[in-house]
Parts: sequence; C-alpha cells; structure tokens
Amino acid sequence: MTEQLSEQAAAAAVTVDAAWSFTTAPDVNSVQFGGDPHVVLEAGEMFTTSDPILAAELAENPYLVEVESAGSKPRKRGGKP
Amino acid sequence: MKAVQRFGLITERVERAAQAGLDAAARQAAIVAQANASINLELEVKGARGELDGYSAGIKSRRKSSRAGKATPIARFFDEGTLGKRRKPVKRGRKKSWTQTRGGTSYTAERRDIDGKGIEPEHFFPKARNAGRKAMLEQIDRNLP
Repeated sequence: MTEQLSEQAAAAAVTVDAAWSFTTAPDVNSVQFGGDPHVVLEAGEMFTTSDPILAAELAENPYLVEVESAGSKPRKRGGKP
Repeated sequence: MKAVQRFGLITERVERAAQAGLDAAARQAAIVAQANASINLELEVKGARGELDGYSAGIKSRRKSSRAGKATPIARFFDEGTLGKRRKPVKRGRKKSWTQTRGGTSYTAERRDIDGKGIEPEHFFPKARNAGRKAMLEQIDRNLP
C-alpha cells in the first residue's frame, strides 16, 4: 500500500517486500541527537521519508514493491545504499 | 500481597523524559555552536520528534553561500576548515601573477585572492554535540532520579 503524503513536499512512502536495512548519510551541516541512522525494515512495513535523495535511492532499489513520490525530481547519487 | 502492573506509566514517563532531554540537547547545542562560530550559522533548532524507533532532535545550519547564484551550505567549511591536513603556514608567498601557455597561446594569469589561504577549522559542531549530550543527560537525570 502506498500513501500520498503531500503535493508540495518531496516525500516518499514505500513498502518493502522483504526484511531490508540501510544507513542514512549524515548531514554535515547539522548535529543530531537520538535516532538511529541504521534503519531496519521488516517485510510489509511502511517507511516514509522527506529526504528526496533517500527517496530516490529507495525508489531505485529492487527490493521495494511500491514507491510513490511527490515534488521535484531529486538529483542522482552514485552507489546503492 | 498485591502486585500492580505499571509498565504503561513507566514507559510514558521515560518517553517524556527522553523528549525533554532531546529538546534540552538541541537548545544547548545551538547556543554552543553559535558561540564558537565566526559566522552567523542561522541555526534551526529541531525539537524532539518521533522516529521509526524512539525520538530524535538536533540543529541544522541554514547559512548559504553569499555568492550570487549559489546556494551551497557553508557551515561545514568553517566547522572542519578548508586546509585539509596541513598544520603549518604556507612557506612561500603566493604569486600575484604568472605566465602560462595553453594550446599554443600564452597568457598572464592574475591571482585575485592573494590572501586566500583557506579557513581554519572552528570545530563548533563537535563542541555543540558534546554540550548537547551533557545537557541531555543532566535533564534525564533530573526527570528520572
């Protein structure tokens, strides 16, 4: 099931078809407390993100079954997560 | 003997303490980061918000390059510096101009930025991270004695 989050924001809601994990890249212009950059998803679990780069990487991953994103097209970045 | 299950109350109290601690960390980090920076970082304080598992908070610099047509965030250049691993000053003075031949054509190049020798690292983000972490632990200690 895919959920449309917003017409304005670049966002994506994805559902995974198998247990899957990835590490989000740290933002070098910020400091974060709490939260785990290493995200683990169980089969059938939904994950939402407002990060357009991460959304693009998720969209390219073959493990994902459904991806829907809104907003401007994010730039491409090399490598898979 | 009467036993009462209070896990729900305990979980709620821990969650409140975690959020208060993260808020305190973000506020303190913003103060320390700006105090140690030579530029206005235009910091955005992000309060505690839900994650996939637990909560997170933080600060983010919104300061962009002042050059026309550029929107590059510049906080990192001042935090980590732009000198790489070099620790000593440049031994030779920088040339103001030099002659170069490219494609058979000779021209004189002029250096516009004579004094440009990079940015010394200010390390305000690590200082902010340490101060924020300390504030968070103190806040949690106060809420969960």
